[in-house]
Amino acid sequence: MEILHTFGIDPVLLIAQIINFGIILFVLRKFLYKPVMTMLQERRDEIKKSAEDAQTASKLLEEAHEKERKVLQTAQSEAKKMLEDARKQADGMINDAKEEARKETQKMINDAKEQLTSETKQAEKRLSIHISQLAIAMLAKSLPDLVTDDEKTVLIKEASKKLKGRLN
Amino acid sequence: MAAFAPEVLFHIGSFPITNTVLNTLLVDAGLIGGAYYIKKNIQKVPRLFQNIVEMVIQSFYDITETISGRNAVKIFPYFMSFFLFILLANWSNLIPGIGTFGFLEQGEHGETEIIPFLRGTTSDANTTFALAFFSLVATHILAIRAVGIGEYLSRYFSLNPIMLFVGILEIVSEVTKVVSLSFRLFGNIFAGEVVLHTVSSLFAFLVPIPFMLLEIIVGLVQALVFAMLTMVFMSILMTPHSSEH
Repeated sequence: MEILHTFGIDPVLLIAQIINFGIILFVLRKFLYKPVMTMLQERRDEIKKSAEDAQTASKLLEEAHEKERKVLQTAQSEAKKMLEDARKQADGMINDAKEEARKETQKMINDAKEQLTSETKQAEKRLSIHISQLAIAMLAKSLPDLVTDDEKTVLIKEASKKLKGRLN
Repeated sequence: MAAFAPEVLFHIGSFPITNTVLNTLLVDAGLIGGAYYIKKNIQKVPRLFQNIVEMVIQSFYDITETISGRNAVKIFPYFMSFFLFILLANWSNLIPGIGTFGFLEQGEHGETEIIPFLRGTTSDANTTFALAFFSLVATHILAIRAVGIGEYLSRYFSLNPIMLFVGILEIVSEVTKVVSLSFRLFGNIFAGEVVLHTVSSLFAFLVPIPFMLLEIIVGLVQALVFAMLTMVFMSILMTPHSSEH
């Protein structure tokens, strides 16, 4: 044990150093490694999470863009369709209106024609009545010298009968 | 500076307070202060000091993990603590003034000698033996916990004569581990101290600077070697016999 003495080995100091290192180990483990490792782990988790979040967000954004595009497309096509429908409807309405106007006009023309015809007929009738009356009157005036009054009356009656018959 | 043994400054009761004990307390204060500072000020967004500490801890943990795999969690605190304690102890020896302030004492041959207040704790064989012993005991406790007492004992004792002989060799190697660990550290640091002391007593200016730089590297390397060896021993003993092949 001479060598131990030469190197200054003192059991008290030796034990003191062992205890000292035990304390150091305990303190470092509790106050240094544990919080630092926990913090590193936390930070790692957080970075991982935020990276994942960013990925999700970009995916969502893309989806939203896609949706927007679809909605816009639908709206566009719908608007196109509506416009077309409206145009068709308008065309139909115009055509209908034209047709109706044409019909109305035709009817009015027809009516006018009819009225004209009937009025002409009536005028003709009235005119013929008038003429026949005139004729009878002329007859009555021109006859006196040639025939008797009785014959006159008969003639006139005959004539007016014939006229009436023709008129009717 | 010729003596291996640390100089006793005074006694508290029967406990001798040597200059290496004071140095140990200084290193302790630095470590505990740093740890306490980190614990108090730990932030999600790290500042410079926290960043450095995190970087060191992370890279050491990664080294532990590559070597010892799933045992890394158990081994890492020992590895890191040995490294930090020894590194600070080694470097504390290089702080200017650490070996300069002290009592003046009459030597045996009548010359005055300085008994410094502080002396690097790793240049005291007590400290290095204590560390090596701690490392050994911790290694074996971890090994028993990891592989179970039966598996643990089967490494040293066997009915097979050849394996029994190997077991005896293993026991011898455990003893040599302590000796080699402690004397490697003690020898390197003590020698460095002596070199620095000698060189600065020859040329006080400029010439010691390269040696100081060398001692910084030696301090780092020795801390790393001690911690690494401890870690490797732990890793080996914590691996069951059967899975070694």
